[in-house]
Amino acid sequence: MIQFRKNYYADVRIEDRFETQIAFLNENLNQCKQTSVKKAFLRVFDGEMWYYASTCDVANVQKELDALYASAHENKQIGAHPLVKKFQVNRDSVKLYEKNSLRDVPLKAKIDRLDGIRKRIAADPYVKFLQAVYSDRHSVWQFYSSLGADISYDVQYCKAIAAVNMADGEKTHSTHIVKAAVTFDELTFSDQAIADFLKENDDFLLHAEAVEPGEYPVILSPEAGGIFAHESFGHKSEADFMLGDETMKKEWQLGKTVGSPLLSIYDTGLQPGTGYVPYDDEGTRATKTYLIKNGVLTGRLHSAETAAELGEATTGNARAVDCTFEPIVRMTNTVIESGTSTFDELLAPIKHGYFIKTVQHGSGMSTFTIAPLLAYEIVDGKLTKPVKISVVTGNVFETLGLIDGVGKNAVVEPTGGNCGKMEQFPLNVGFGAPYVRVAKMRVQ
Amino acid sequence: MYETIIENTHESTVNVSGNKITSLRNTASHTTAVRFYKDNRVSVAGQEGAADVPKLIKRAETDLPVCGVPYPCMLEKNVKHVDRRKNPIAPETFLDAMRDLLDRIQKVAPQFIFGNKLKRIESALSYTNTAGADLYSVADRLEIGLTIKERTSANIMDLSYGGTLDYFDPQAIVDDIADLAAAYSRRVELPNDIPVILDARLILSMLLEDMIADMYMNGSGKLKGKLGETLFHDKLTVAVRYNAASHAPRPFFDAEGTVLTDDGFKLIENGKFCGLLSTKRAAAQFGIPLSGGASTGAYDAVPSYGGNAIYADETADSVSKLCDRAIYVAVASGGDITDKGDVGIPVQAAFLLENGKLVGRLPELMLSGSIFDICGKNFLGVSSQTAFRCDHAPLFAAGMKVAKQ
Repeated sequence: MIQFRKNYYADVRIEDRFETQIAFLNENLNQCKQTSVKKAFLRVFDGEMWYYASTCDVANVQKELDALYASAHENKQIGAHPLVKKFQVNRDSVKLYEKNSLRDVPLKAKIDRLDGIRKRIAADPYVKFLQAVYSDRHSVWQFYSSLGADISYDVQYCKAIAAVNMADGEKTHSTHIVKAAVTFDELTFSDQAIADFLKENDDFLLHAEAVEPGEYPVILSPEAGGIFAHESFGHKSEADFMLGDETMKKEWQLGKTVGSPLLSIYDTGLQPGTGYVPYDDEGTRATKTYLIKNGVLTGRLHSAETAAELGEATTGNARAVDCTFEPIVRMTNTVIESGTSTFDELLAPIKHGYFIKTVQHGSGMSTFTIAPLLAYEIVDGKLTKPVKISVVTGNVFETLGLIDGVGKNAVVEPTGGNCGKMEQFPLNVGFGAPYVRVAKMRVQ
Repeated sequence: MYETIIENTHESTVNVSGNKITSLRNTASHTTAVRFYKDNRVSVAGQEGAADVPKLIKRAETDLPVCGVPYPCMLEKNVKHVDRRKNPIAPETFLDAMRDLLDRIQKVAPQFIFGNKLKRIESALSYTNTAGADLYSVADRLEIGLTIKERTSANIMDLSYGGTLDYFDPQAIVDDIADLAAAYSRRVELPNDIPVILDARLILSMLLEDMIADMYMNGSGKLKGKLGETLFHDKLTVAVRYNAASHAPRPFFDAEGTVLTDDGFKLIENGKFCGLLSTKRAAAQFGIPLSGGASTGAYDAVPSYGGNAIYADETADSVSKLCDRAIYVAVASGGDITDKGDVGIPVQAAFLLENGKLVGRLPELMLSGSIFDICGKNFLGVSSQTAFRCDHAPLFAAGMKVAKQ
């Protein structure tokens, strides 16, 4: 039982994390480990500063907490502090994975699953180098606060990725296939899925041509659209960048038009998978937060600190990579909401443009970038040849305003994602989108 | 036969947000990993926090039949201890020193908002094995990592400033920020046909994957079949080595206990592609020399390829000797390279550099070109004497195609 002192705010977050990582480098098993670690992160706030500690000695959390109290200063008004007033006091237990936990799947079954995927891919004659990785995680979280919060919940996901280098003479091509799931039984690749992947990438290897750099209409796949939403707008929605910044507060006033009227983007920790966060690392319950609705800035992602500074409600977005770090404002699942167009309807008006199907990585500042893997030229409303594009870029606000088509049936990609923000990487997130057409993007 | 790797890290971190220090985080991390070898396989058992090494040895041995990864047992016997601690700031004065630094920075650059982290880190790494090796490295450092945003800007971040240092010279940091602020306030036109200077790691990272032994020996990557050929400029040499002169001290041995030398293992020598990145496993499998530089992503992982101990040799003792006028890339995020070697690097912040000094701010840019030209006929050199007093990351100068964004 943790003893909290009066006249301070404090909380303790404990994670019992189980993880597996298995990797093949070509036919060689290269990594194989399962680890369990229990760690705690402690915070004390005295109204002026936060004091943090992290420890693996969870049995002696009280000692660590007392040491933090010794660094902080007693504050009889702490309960009235605007930041402290934003903390929710939830008492709940949400355990979804006790019966089908990844901890209970034998390690050999995981090795065999990955090896099976690897072998089917390696059978392709153009595959020269293959890295196949299986990873999983099952975490049980506990959260306690001096206000009386007492929460426990669990989270799990598993993922398989095969990164492939192909070659045919002087021609080379890098690609990957990836899938994430919540249970081990769901993490399979059908023979057809592998065959389709290899056929498409063989074709890309043999026939892809370089693009002529320029500005073109572009259609983003759900995978590319999800990454675009995350990188172009998601990070800008993290309200910690507005702290102490009057210009940003004015620039980002709710109600401002920031994109096309076709565009709505939301973030939610309620969706199971890699972005599932039923309670954030400050004990705030997950919500669905619209960031943009019909092109209008509608909301932001908050921690208690940012919600207090901006006078808004918390949103369940205070997260840390693990119990080594303090929570900061992060995304969970960030999704472009479905529109009404079919893929063919999005293609039809394009005289000359590109379709971005899969993505290597993305990043976003005032300019966002997406590094495509598979991309196709569009000519007269039809997909034609595969093309090699090193990066697609654009000014964020300009590009949001240039979205002129949004497809039906947004997909929250079962690939999972790892997000980095300053020192904290990798954080598990999810993202999704339907097909999205942008009137103009820079293609390099 | 087994290896034991123990790492102890003490870290003090202050968070800066909106020009204020908002938190202090003190952490002490202790990790132990045991790698157990038998029948040309290895199994790893690790523990965070207090560890019982005999129990870890037993666990690694027990796990070997299921988790064992093919790996040759090539244990070396080197014994060396190096203490590079210089105590740049005493731990008990760290918070006050950072408050003072932040106050002084704001006085010279009141038009900016500063954020992110300032850290003091002391880290000790020990490697021992049953063959008799006993390697120990301890060092301390400051990590200055500031995001910088102009008060009137609508961006999350306009610039960054930072470095890893084994000394603390607050006036030098303040002077660097003052120079940066002054240059940022002057917009200049983009000149035609001048070279680009950017962080060498950005360029090297685009080549290193193709030098991995497993990639190359399986006939894959941009450099396939070209080992032994002169592909790059004759002034370019890239090696895996221990950079003893660096102000950002790293251990002198890698994750496999291979001792790194200052001379190092050449990957590219005078333009000739002459070496592959290898681990002990890859060296044994392919019959190639061991390059050193292995690392583990997680403390309890089997060693794999790392990029931290790879440096391009300096060709000049200052950037002004590489070119008297250049585009200096301050912030570049999101770049990539195609399989043919065509590079695209978006640049969010760049400056005009003249005679080693920042002159003024350029517009947002897109850099492009073939990596073989950038490291070949267009290569000008490498220097770690930069435009800043407290940033010693090596810079790479070359001709590239430059366009406004």
